[in-house]
Amino acid sequence: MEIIERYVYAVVSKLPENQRDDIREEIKTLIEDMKEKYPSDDEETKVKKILVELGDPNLLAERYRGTKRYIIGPKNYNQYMFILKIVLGSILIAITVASLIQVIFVSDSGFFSHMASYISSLFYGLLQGFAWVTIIFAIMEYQGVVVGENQNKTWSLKSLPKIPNKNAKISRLESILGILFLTIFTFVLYFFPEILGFYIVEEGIKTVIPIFNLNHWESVSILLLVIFLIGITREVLKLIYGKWNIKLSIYYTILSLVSLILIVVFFINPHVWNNNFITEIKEVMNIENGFDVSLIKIKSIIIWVFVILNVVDIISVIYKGVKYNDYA
Amino acid sequence: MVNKKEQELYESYIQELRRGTIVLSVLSQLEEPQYGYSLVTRLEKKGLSIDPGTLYPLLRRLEKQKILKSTWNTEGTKPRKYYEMNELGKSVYQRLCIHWDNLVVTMNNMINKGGN
Repeated sequence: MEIIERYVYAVVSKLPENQRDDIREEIKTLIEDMKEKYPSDDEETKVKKILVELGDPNLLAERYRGTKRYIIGPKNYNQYMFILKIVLGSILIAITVASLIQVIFVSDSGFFSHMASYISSLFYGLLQGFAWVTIIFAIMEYQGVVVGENQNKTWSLKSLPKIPNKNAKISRLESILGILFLTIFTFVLYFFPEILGFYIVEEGIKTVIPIFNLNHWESVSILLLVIFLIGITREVLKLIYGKWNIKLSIYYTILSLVSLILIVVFFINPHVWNNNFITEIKEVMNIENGFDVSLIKIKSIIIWVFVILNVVDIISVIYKGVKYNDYA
Repeated sequence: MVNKKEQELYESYIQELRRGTIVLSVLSQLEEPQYGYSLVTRLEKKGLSIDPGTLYPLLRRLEKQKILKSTWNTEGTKPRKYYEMNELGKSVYQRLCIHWDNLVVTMNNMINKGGN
């Protein structure tokens, strides 16, 4: 009878492939067996009554599966929402800042076209962020991964986390400012390297002598994006952990070292710099002597500033990680 | 007068009680092999009505948990899957029965002398 086939199909189509045949036969036999309950009805009425009694095929399939199915289950839901907020928040900040910079430095288009491109980048950016976080969590759900610490340990009084020391807490503002600064820095350096240089105003005419070599910029600046991504990962990790411990400070240190190495590699590359920087300044300023700053000196000062800032940062992070470690 | 809200609550607690006793009821009837629907009618005759849509998946779960074993009987007009308790099932069942007896005594003590 067609209606039986349809009912059975509605149930087994929601079950794993390898159980379908078995359960299909089982339900058919069950329907046959249940006919004895309605001895006085004709065949069609019997079947209809039985199917109504068996109820919603979705519910029946759910009982056969034993577990409810989720894209993101209750065990991971809180973590998912948390990460989602951080990721979407970061994207919002990054795109807003990038758009503002664009408005400031590229003022050749009107307000409405800026607004339109801002809204569309925001839309696509947020959609991308949402999709990726959801996909990653959905895969983890499918694999049965539960996010969080101490999953396999049995609970004991000792495993209660200490209330974090006030100084161990990482302020969200700090991370958000970090993301903000990184975005501005990368965006300007990547898209508008020509604004960084030596400014001379002479008789109302502004001359800029760029410190970077703009001819090879496209090929060398790819590295900036990698450094940017590492930096963002570092800040997001800080947001996720929310307080310092050894694990976080180890991750942070590794990421910082990698990004520092890349920064040094970037600035050491001679193609990055405008080698005529000093001569051009001298020409424009009409200086013959007495301006004995070499480009190499400027380069090494910039590199040293980055190295020192990063090393100080790493040392303070390791110190905090050791001092405030929860699991000690 | 029993209002609707009270009735709903009452029914949901009844559901919880039933859910807690259903495995024990099913095991009690599976010392001898039974197929799904014969188990439904057997339980019904003893006063426990159970929806086949609940029982059939439960039998599969118990088989998966290895306290029931199943055999296909193809002698009749339709091939049927017969379930019965295996050794582990019988052992678990006996222990559950002892626990049940104790529970009944405890509960009766509380319910009948609850106020005092």
